[in-house]
Amino acid sequence: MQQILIIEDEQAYVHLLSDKLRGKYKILTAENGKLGLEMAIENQPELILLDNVMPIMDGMTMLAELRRDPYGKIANVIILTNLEASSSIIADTIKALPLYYFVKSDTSLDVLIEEIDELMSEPPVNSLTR
Amino acid sequence: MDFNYKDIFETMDEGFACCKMIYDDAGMPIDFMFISVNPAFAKQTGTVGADVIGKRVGVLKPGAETHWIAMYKELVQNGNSKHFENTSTPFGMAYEVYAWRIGENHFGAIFTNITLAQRTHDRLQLINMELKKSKLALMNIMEDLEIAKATIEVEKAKDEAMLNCIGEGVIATDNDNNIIVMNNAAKAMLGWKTADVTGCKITQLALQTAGGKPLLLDNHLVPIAEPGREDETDPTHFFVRKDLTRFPTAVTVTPIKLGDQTIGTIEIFRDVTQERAVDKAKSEFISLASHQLRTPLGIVEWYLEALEAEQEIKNLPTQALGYITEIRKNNERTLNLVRNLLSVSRINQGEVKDKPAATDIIVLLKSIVHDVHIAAARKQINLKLAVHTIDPPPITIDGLRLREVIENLVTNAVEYNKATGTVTITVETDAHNLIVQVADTGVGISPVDQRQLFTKFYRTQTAKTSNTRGSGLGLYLVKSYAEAWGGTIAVKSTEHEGSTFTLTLPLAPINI
Repeated sequence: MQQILIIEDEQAYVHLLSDKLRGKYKILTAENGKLGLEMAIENQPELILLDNVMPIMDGMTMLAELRRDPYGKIANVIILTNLEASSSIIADTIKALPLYYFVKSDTSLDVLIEEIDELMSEPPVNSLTR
Repeated sequence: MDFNYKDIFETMDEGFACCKMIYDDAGMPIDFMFISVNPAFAKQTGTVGADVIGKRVGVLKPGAETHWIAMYKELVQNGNSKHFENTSTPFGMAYEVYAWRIGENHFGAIFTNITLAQRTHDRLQLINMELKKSKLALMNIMEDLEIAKATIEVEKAKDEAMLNCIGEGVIATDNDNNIIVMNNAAKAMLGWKTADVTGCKITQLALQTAGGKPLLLDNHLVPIAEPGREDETDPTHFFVRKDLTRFPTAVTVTPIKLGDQTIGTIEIFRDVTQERAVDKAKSEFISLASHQLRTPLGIVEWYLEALEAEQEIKNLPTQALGYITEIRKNNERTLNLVRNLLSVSRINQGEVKDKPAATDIIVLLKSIVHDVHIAAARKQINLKLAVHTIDPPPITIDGLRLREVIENLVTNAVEYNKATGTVTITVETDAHNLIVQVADTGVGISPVDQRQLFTKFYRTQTAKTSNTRGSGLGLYLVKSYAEAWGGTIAVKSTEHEGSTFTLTLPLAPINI
């Protein structure tokens, strides 16, 4: 079964996303960037849902670390954040492709799940998407 | 040579008369009679001597003043000679008289007609009196002048004191930008002394833009202080102190009018460093609070969405389903408010960064019409798009933001319209600008509200009473973006008839 790692400190988000995705995928969860990084490298999930603002290690730092790993370099990442796309984040994410970027409060849950399903049905990505 | 005393009397210029006193039965002198007169008598009295000899004066010339008879009576009684001046009404003349007693009842009188001298004298006296009066009047005027001068000096001192006590900086200039007046507050803020600025041009105390570029007052202050206009400079302008440090300032420029003529400008300004700091802190707080609010609101949003997707939920009573819809609607409203708050705080903190791209305005307007037409249809509002310039050139701008700006105007036009009203979106271009107008047939905006319409959190009286949904941020965002792009937003409105908002953007907008 394909694996999705949810790195998010808000348990309410973790809970709901797990509910929606469980059954179709194996769900792994981590409550900060540091734990998430360890779990990602160890389990090599097909997709990582990554929050940005978290204690201990934030999402962008985690992503930068992840991209140094051979698996992490090509891992699919969807950044889920409550921050709006400010220029510095955009610049960072472009360097850290492949990934997708969603502002949680501006995106409907349905749309997000559809995107995830679509992404998971595609063959593994080895190069840039979007 | 032989001569006698008579010759003297015969040849002299003065009149001479020898007279006899006439008494009544009680022995009181009542008149006198001419016994003899000299030839000069006629000249002095206008009466020929022959006609008067042996005649009583009272008969000859009735109505003589009593002082004559009184004078001669005294003379005849006590024998003391008299030298006097008197007027005689019957003769119509004034005389200087020397009289003396001759024997018991007679007296002689030598006299000269002094009528002319008397008149001259009287006239001189009159003139003298007039002069005295004039002198008094002049003195009064002088006194009044002194008082007025003192009052004016006090008033002037008061004016100066008032000017100097104004907490805001005041600089007055003439039409050539020469500094005429600078008050204490202005001097203190700028670090200049009176001696430094006297005869200086205000252009030498350059205002700067936020970017540190000098603001050429020649091209700026005087033109905006044209007749009938008052203007504030951009709130991000700076005044440069004498020591070349600078401070943010809010300046109001007003023309000085003397009758119809503009004789200069008056600049009133204050240091807004403190206000800026407070504003910044406020924006930062709003930004932080909004971010914090977004997480729980986002969570609720997703959970509600998940809840609505549950199969069993369809079996709930309609009323309960309505409750969920209501919760969702209000949660979305709060999220929207938070979104707007974030946009505002980002603009205020200068954190806005455009993502400019060539944008086809017609495509953008059509998509807005598409999105808004459902809300319009609900109120049976006729939503029209009128393209006055066919194929307007694409404009390089952040399309999403431009969409947000225009959508705000269109949504308002629908929201504040009457049912079955009309909303017309017009687009045209001129040589330099893209002009988008949004006109409605709604409730209109009162002149009072129009003045504050574009300020943060401002809601018109109508908006407050008829529609509770707005945040008071929409038009502030419109104005903030429009101005950041180098454009303008204006409103024309008649209450109960409708409003027209005009967005004018340069075809080559400034990208922020």
